[in-house]
Amino acid sequence: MGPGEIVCLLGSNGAGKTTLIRVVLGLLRPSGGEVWLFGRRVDGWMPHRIPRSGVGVVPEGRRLFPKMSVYENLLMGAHGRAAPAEVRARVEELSRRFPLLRERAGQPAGTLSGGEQAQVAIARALVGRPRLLILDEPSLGLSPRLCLEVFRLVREIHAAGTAVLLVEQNARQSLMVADRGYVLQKGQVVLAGTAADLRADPLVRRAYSLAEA
Amino acid sequence: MRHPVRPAASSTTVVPGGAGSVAQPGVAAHPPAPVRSPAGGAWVELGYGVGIIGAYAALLAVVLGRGGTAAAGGAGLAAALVLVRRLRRAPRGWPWVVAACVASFPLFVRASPYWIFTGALSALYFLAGLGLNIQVGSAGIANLAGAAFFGSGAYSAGLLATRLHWPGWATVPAGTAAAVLIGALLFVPVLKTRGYYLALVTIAFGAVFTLLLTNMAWDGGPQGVKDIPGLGPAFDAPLRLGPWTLHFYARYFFLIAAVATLGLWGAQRLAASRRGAHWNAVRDDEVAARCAGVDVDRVMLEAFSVGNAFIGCAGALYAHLVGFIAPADFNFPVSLVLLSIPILGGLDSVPGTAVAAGLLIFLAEKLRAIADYRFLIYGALVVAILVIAPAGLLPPRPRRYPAGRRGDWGPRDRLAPPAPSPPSAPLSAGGSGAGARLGIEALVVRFGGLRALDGVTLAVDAGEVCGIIGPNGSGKTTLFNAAVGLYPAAAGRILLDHRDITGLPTHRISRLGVARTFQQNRVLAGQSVLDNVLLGRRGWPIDEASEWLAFFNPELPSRLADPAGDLPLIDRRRLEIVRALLAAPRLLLLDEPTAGLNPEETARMVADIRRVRTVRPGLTIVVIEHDMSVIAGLCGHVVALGDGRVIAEGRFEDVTRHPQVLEAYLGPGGAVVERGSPA
Amino acid sequence: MTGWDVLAQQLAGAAQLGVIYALIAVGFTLYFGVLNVIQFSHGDIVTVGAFAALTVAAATGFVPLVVVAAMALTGLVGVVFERAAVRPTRASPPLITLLATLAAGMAIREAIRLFYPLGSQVHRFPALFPPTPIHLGGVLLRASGLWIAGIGLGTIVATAVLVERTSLGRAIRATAQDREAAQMMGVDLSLVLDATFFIASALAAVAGILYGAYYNTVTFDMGIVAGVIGFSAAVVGGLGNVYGAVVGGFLFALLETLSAAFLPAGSENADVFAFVIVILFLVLRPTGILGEKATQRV
Repeated sequence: MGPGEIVCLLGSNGAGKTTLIRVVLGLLRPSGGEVWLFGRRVDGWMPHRIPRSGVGVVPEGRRLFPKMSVYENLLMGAHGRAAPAEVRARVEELSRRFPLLRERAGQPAGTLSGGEQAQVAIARALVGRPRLLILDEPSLGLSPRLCLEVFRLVREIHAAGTAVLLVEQNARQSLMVADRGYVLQKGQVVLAGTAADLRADPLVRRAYSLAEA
Repeated sequence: MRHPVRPAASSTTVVPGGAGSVAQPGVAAHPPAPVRSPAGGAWVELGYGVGIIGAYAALLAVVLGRGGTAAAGGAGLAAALVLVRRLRRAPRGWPWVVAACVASFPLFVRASPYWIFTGALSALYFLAGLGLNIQVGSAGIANLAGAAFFGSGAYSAGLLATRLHWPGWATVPAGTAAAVLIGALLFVPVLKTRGYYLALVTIAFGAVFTLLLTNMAWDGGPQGVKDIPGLGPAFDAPLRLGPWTLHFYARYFFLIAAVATLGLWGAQRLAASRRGAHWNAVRDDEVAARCAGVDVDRVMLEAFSVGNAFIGCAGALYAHLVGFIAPADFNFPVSLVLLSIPILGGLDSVPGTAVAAGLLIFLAEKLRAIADYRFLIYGALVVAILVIAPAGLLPPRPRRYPAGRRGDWGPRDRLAPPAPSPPSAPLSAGGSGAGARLGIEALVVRFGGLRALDGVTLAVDAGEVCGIIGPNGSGKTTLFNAAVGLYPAAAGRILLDHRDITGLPTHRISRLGVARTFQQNRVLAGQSVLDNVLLGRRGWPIDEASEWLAFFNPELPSRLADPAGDLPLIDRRRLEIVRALLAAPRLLLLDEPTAGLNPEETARMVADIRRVRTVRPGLTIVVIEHDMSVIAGLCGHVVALGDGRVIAEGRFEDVTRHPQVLEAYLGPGGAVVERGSPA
Repeated sequence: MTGWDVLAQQLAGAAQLGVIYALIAVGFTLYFGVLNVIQFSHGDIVTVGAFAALTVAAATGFVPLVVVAAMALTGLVGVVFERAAVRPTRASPPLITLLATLAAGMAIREAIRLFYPLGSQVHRFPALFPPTPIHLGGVLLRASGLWIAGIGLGTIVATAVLVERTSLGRAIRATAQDREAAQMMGVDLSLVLDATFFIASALAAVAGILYGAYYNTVTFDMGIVAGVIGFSAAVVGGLGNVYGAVVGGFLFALLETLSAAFLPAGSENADVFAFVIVILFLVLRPTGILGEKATQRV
């Protein structure tokens, strides 16, 4: 992945997408192979060093800290990285883009609706000013309208200069926002190419029912 | 050599759309992959024997204080441990080798009554350890009051012997019964609390037990019971065995060893039985067990009581062996020592319990020689063992299956070619064939203030396949959970063939013929394929199980003894369906049978469920699905739920075009179906 | 003395015991929240705290130094304990961890007995706080009692601030709620584990000192009972909930003192009543007062 790209990683459940992300984040140790990030080899790093090196994550299922307030969740997004004053400024900045963050600052994150949680999770990943944003199934469990909203947001983040790795089952929409894509099946990359190529690939079309859309 | 090519995969073929059939009965269906070749087997048997004898020699050498023998024995022990880890089943002769070792023990240490006594003590702790292993290891009941039940047996026997002068043959059964009765005081907490909370209940109970023993006067108070007579007059005389005269402790040793052997036999039988499988199921997944028709409450109380009987019996014998008991002998630290026996041995492992009991007691007694430092070393050693071997010394093996002949263990032997019967006969023999009608009337289910189901009414006729669709959180799974009695209905009725099943316990509903699968796959990952599919059945209908497994995947019958967790997701989903089908259901509830499967697998699953319909035409099936192609492929009748209500019902085409359904899925004004629209 | 005086006196006693139990229970609940582990030998850490204070107090009479030094020493013991017995068995079934902590606790207990001078005997705990009598509206209290309750409450409040208001506390709470998500945010798990054990053990040290000050004596095996009671309090309050643990601690102390005062043969059987009520309570409310983390483990 190059800087400033949007790459999407497609595949059905169990294809190995989330495993790959876990390896990248250092939560699983690879049995073989290497992971490179920003010009450094990072496999074998302790998990906390990866986010601190400039990676923001929106985990699958969003995984906000349910009993912490929205504000505290945002603070967690820059944990161990920045001075408190700087973090506060950044949160302030994000609150202009997401008015929700200010309105609900004190509310426990677990009580938000799915769409609101998605916004908070994305904002949380951005607090640390990441150079790379990883989104794992951001559309899961959202209504199509909210999905579109999320994808619009992804494009906006990308326009601001952050590289994005989008892990999705929802092939159609991810291929529309992405530059390039990889298709995983049973733990292997079976297809790789530009988004336009993948959109046209018959296998992808069949597997993801793009034809009907 | 060691692993002959498996012929299993090619042994059965499945006729698409029809019943599974055994294509070449006889040769081809024969033995799927024996574990090891006979030649290797002989070496293993020999190595095993050397290991046991080596371990024994090491024990004796340590007891008698001889360095050279200890080294040889240690090497043997190491060899044994290596072998045991590689073995899937024990060689046949080893129980006799062990028995010979145990029986000869007093002869070797005849010079020292103290070590004979220690031997008797470790046999006692083994007996108690077996009981705790049933509770903690097999059934997952965290009992941290082992010493209290041990003490119940000991105090009952001691008081009956000293105050009422009961003879030994009466006090020991009485002590056993007393432990079970005192255990009955905890029946309600055992059923109501789980995990750490139950652990605390037992800790509190143990504390109350010792406090009461200390504070009450009639039982001797803090001084305890003194001068408890021996088991009988015969037990006070030395034991003459041929040329040897042994201290009278040898009589206790042999008696207790015999009782412990009896206990071992019983515990092994129980662990290998269906009851043992139920204990494990309750421990691993209570919900899955309930839904398969296991009476969880009864099974837990049984395991608890049987365990207490073992512990109480050991306690009663202890009172007679030692002759003096006091409250401090049965306090919390003693419970911990008792509990450490099954944990250290490997939870749910009967042989492991024996090894741990021997090791701990002899270690503790041997360390007595280093006087003061023994508990320090003991504690450090236990930590070290747990860090090195977290699963215990001898982790449990997969359950063995009964077979015609002794020594002829194992499902692989049992899986000899099934009789060449008409292919569909066994499959149709399992159930009455007739499906049941499911009626739901104005059902309301509440979680706190939330109405998860808000007056759902629907009917599924006998023999129908009904699909239930709806967005996340619309109440689909809640409906299943309420139908099988996992969630209480706040209002409304659930009818099975006009019989009101509302409020019945889950296992009763299951036994009335309601079987289900789960969205989050709930196979018991640590247990064998066979244990999983037979969960709802009595006895061992292995042929029928294999046939249903082959119906879905011809390779599965060769993996009956493998842990279910090793299978890929689609096979685990199939396992759940086979488990449900083996319970001879009249109503089958499938909760997202294709969740997590790729498009190809999904198509196969749909085809397989259709084939089930052809073998079981009368069976009523209700399917929850997100994938519309699955619903389209299976169901004539579709119900759409939204926010806990039925928002549409009817034919698939109509329901999926219903404006309210579209709105529920897509939000107002939405237009496209998310994933996989009908072909 | 009127009935009210007796009651007031009992309540004063309950308040002192309550802070002690609460401090121990908070430790249990922190371990459980962060690691999903029961550290069953937390009681022995309390003993370590008491003996550490005893040692320091022999050198200096300056109470704040005694307390701080004991907390630091005990906190380090806690970290070593975690590294030796808890971390290596963390991936094992919970019962294995439970037994490992129990065995390590036994080693600690025995080490105190063997290596502390005259360790097996009952040690007089120095009077760190003046026993000056204070009359408060006709009720006789002792200054030491006020000190015990005050220091205990202060420590509890300080802990609450630490957990609620600091970055470290946030990391601890985040780890408790979702360990993996916390790591994804850049939380150093190893540091959080060490910190949790350090904090919980330091709190145990305070509890040990207050325990010694309350009973005037300490023994090497005092941790067994202290641990069982602290665990009861944590469970009754709802494992994983810090405030629940505090409530549970006071509740247990209240039960003990009231049954000692008002029930027949109460003084010997105080704990019997307290434990029976704990059992009944758990049957009726199986996840504790403020229970949130229902668990299927063990």
